[in-house]
Amino acid sequence: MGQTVWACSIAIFSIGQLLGSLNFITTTLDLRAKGMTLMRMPISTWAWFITSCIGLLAFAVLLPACVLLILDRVAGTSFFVPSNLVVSDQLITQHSGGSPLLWQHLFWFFGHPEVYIAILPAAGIVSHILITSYRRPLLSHKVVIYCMMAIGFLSYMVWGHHMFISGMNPFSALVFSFPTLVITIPATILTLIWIGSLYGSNLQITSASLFALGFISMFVTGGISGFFLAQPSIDVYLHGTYFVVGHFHMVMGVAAIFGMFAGTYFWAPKMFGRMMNETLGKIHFWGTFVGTYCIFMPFHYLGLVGNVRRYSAFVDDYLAPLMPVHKFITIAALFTGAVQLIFLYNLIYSRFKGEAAPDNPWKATSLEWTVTSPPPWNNFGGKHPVVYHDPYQYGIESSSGDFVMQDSPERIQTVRDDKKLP
Amino acid sequence: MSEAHLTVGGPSGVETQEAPAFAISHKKLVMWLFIISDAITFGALLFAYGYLRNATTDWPRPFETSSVINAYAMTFILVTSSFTMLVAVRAARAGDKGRAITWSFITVLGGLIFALLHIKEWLSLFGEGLRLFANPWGSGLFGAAFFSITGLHLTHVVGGCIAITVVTLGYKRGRYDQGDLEIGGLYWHFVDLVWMFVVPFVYLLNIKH
Amino acid sequence: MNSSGHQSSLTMYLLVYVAILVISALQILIAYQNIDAYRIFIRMLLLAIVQAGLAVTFFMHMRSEKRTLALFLLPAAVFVLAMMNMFWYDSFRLLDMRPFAH
Repeated sequence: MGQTVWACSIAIFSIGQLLGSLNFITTTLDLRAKGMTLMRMPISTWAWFITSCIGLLAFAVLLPACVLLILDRVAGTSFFVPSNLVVSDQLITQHSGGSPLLWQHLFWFFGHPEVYIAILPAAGIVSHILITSYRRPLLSHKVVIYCMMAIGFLSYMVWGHHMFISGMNPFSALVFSFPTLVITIPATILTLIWIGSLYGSNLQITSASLFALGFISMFVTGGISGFFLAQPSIDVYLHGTYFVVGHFHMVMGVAAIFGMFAGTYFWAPKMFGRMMNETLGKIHFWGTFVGTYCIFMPFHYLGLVGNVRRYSAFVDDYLAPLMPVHKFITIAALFTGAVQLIFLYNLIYSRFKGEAAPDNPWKATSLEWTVTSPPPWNNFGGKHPVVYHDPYQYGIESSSGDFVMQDSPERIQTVRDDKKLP
Repeated sequence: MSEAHLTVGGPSGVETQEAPAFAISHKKLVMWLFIISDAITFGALLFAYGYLRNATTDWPRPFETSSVINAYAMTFILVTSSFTMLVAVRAARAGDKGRAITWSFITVLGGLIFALLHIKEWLSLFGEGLRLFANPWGSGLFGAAFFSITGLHLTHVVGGCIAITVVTLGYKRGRYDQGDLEIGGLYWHFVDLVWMFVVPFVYLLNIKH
Repeated sequence: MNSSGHQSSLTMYLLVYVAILVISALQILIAYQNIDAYRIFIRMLLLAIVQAGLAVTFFMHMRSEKRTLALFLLPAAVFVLAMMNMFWYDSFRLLDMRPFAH
């Protein structure tokens, strides 16, 4: 019953995501301010656009898969239930002939693009915030966009790496392994651009930028374990263990959440018209950052010594010596959870009692910072902004300081080129 | 709605926006994107069907000649209704509102006849003993795949009939313009297009020899 | 909104309409031929793709839209559907392994 409701909710969620994607793609393509060419859009908007494109195509596969699953559970069909299946020592007789592998294929065909649906918006937010905090443009923001596109494209070729031990044809495993390794190339380029641009920049330490840097840390840590898991020979050993849990939580779970936190600290002044408390924000960051590593790094070690995942309890066997590690993880998890209360308090408190936010507290250039905080009705108050250049005009000399707003017709001096190499 | 209007037309007729990327209306782009997504939905379902058919040894091939004739009649009706939709959109573009409305309703009629033929087909198969997961000929998966694929298509046809009726009535009252009628047509042609894949794979690969 | 300045003529629509119906009839002829299922499938698939191509190009007016629209939409759908072909390896393998499943 519960699982039927789950499948129904996932089917409805697919439809919702589909409609959301339609809205995002069309809005991005058709409702841009004068002068806002595609390449002048902020990277965060680009990331949302690419995410929507991936979602449009990926959720279309999850929807029929869920419908078939619901039919299996409710109407007595057997798309995914094999013959002679034994559940709880009872032979299932009313279902036969289906293929669980088909479910895995359909689910992971959606499932892997979904991973990038989760991480790309965070990557976009982080790129956007990092540029603002670095006070200089990225080495190339176009390459960042192209890398995100490449990740979106490749995400449809690699779903089989979730299925190396599912009984899939070993030949397919080989075929899936290759693009999985290839997808690390655009991801590595992204990371190198983020870190490379940090060198010689005038970094502003704020809660938002700390979380953005934390995102890079999580992305790299989780990404490196991805190299291991991409290879069938190693994955066959590691797939059923905590190693995968650690990898997945690092690279997708926590990294995406760090992106969300960064975005919240960055845009909360614009949303509510009040600044969030920076001190609390930094405490929140360090607590979360250290706590997260304390939780998920041990997962990798547990996985390497063979601690299987998906078990609710362990009998007293070869895993007994690992119990202290599990206890440590539990304490770290409780600590990290408690730290989130600081964030919750900060968010609610500053929503009502925080100090009033100026229009542009971070000296950022994109359009949302040209209006009052919080923004007027209709976003721009009936005026139509005109865009003159891309949103990454930092580290230059202009009338407003070291940056030029996107809607300012000021001509940009090319001091930037000299500053590129410190 | 009001926001869209606010941003589209500038106060003094000055362009306040970048031109739409593909030089088509927003609604049309949404419909195209929806069609792409829906095509993949149907594609995934057909792939699932093909997968199960390959992996099943006792896959039945029950369709008699009468079923095939019925399927061709359905194809004929659906493609014809697609054609009448084209005529309707053409008339709407030329400004001939009366003709556009007439031909749109003929399209809806075609869709309804298609649905009736479809249900007749289902009922006759039901009479032969086909159930959702049981049949006298072989693997029960046949019925499951058959009913889920044709069922999803039938849902699209019925939905299309309702949508085109609504749009046509709105067009009559001036709520929708000829562009909206064209978008309705776009969807209708897509339903037609899916049927072109359903007939050969679901019907013609399973005929009795 | 009125992007398609030149309209496709009614004769063109009629021709496409007849072509689609003829291809459907051809598929039925192929279905009754005494060749193995795989060949029947391939021929059906090719004919269905031709039908779909005709419908997209003429009925759905892809011909008179900007080229970029087609380049944006169609490769995405074709690519995703093409990737799903990786399913087949397992479906055939399942058949081979069937004796052991019982």
